[in-house]
Amino acid sequence: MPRLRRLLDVLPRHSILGRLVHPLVEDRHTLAGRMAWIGIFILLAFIFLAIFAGVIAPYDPVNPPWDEKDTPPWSNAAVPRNESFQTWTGNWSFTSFRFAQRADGVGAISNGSDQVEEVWGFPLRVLRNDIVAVGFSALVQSNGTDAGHYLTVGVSFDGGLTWSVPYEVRTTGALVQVDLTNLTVWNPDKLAESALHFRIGHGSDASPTGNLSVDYIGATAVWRTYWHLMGTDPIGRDVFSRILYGARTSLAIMAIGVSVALAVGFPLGLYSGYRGGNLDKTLVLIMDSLYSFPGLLFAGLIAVLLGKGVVNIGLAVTVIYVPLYFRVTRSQVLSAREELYVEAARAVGARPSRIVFRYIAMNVIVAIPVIFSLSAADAILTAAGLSYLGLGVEVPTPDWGLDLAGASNRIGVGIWWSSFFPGLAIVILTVGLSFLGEGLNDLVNPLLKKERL
Amino acid sequence: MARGHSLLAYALTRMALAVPMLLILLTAVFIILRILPGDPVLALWGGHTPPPEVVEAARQQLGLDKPWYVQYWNYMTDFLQGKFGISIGEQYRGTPVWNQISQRLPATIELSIGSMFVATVVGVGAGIVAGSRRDTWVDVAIRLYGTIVWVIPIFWLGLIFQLIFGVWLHWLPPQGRWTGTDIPRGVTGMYTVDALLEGNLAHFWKATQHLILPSLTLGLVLSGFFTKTVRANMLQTVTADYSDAARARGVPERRVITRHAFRNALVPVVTVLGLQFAILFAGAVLTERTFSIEGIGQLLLTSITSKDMTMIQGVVVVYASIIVVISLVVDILGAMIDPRIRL
Repeated sequence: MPRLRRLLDVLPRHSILGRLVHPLVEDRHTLAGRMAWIGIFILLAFIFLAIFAGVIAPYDPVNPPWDEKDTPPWSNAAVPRNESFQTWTGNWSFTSFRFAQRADGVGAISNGSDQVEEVWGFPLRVLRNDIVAVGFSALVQSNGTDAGHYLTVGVSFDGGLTWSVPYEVRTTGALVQVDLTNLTVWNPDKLAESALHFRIGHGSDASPTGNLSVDYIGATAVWRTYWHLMGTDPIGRDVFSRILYGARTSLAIMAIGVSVALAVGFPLGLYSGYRGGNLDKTLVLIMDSLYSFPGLLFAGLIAVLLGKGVVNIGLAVTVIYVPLYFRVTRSQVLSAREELYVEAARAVGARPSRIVFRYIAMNVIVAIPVIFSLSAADAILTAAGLSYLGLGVEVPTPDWGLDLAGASNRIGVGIWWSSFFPGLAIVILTVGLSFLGEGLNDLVNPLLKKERL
Repeated sequence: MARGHSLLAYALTRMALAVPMLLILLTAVFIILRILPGDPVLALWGGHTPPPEVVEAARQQLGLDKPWYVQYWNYMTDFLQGKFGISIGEQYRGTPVWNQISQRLPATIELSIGSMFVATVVGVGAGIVAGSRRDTWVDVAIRLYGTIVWVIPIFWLGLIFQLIFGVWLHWLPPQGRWTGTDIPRGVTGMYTVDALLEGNLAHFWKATQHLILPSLTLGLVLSGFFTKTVRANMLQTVTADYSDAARARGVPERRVITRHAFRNALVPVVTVLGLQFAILFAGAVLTERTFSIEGIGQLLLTSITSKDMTMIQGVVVVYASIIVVISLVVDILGAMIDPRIRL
């Protein structure tokens, strides 16, 4: 890679960027180098996914266009529906036909074979033109039905204009399933509530008078859902699409939280470490006390009071990392302050501000990328934890922690995908960031490098 | 100076430092809950108007009509005297805050002990193996384990354990602390301890079964830190002069590691143990939610959703006090083990 080499030569080895980039390129085959590069790759991949979520995501992450709940991943799951009619009209006498809406032991009774009832309005809601099976189910009661009397069912799929040859149901006392799949080429229009009609007739072998008791009439349809890479969640939203959009939420919270913490903690640590004295002691005591408190609870309290929303959660997360940046910066300043070059600068009469910014800050800043990526990983975990506890972003926002919380009650019935994949996204991103942090730490920290030789 | 005397001096200094730490934490809680939001009761209701009786109760309980320094004084003196007040939330209105907290505390303590046990056993074990076999594939694998497990979301790991061991394999109960109505009622409130005090081994086993998955979840996540720290320390102690001296005397390598390197590697672990408890408590809240354990973490969450200002305040103060006490104990423990700290 001669061209890359030349590019690297332009970058001075001792500059801030150079101290990071040179080891990253030179030691890329060591374990630390590999870890750092894996981390960079994962982080860039997630940023890419977050930016292009709108293009990549196959479905709307918030409003599911179809009623496809708990669809397993990587499959066109079959959705079986069995619904009874909502509307009926005809001359079926003796009892109202509404008794045939539910298999409850009370039937709709006809007492003459000339009687016909037309029923429709089956709320099958077939959402996709991939219909596997269509049929009807009927339950004729054995008591209440005289011998020689049977049920006939004619089927229409154009709103009652044309009718099929009537199917005869002679079984009594048991639910009969009749397959209508081969009757026509089915599509969702033919199964719509206005299109699918059944004509329920009273057939008889001999005497036209006699009782027929129908306990239940229903239509069944089995159709395949759309294909979902990671399945759908309990509300029917595509898990993969939500993960893509959730990357935006997570990265935004992380960026706000960590940058604000850096912007506050770094100068504070710089000032406190350089000045020393009572102010330093007080700040250290305060920061140490805050640092010892569970960060998640701290952020949670502030999130509750600030209100929901990505920016507010980002600011709440900040609180945890201010003490961290303060501590790291301050301890670096303390050791840098005693270095010979600082002494030399002081000796030639540099002003304190110049010493702090030109000599100390520039050397302390090298430690920041390490702590930055480690705290970024932690910030993502915290934000996800807040959402999981219901203290984070608001409900329709695509967010990994929120999705996990919403789907966690499905674990008990073995539906794992809707909580597994959002968690996996968190793990991959946080592992990437901590690989980056630890890799950089080993690469940049000259002490560890010496040890390795 | 005699050894005992200097330890006592250290302990006293450390205790004197714990007091400002507690005061700072109490003040931070006061600032966050009382001063930042303007009217804390309104802030909790988030835009909705609270019922007048809630506002009235809050005004009486919190003294919101008084200037902030009077509120601050009352708040501080009440908590330092152990007065936690009466709940003003929707869920526990009228019950003393301390009653709720003391009922919930044992579950959290039980979980914390269980997970600390898992974390120490797994973490220290893995750290020793990795540290004594530097740069082998075992070492690399354990290092990766330490890094990855540290950033796994606790709730996610918990749900996976529930799924595998609770739902698919039916080995362990996936949720709760107890199934059935014959809950052990003892003095400690920790079911495992109470069952042992009763002398009922079947109950003890049942309580332990319920404790295994939550402790494993939280413990494994925490073990990452122990793994890393112990490994780093082992790298130094394995090659330290005293280890080399032992080898030179002909002590077998196994014994060098267990007797010389391992013991010294543990010392720095104790000194950073205190910070682990902050992470442990944050993790315990998530674990309690995942496994439906009624600990104080759950109490804090319900008091936030039921807009219970006094309860939130009480729970947070309890957390702060526990942490201050634990870090005090851990530091003194560290000083007892490692005399250098006292200097």
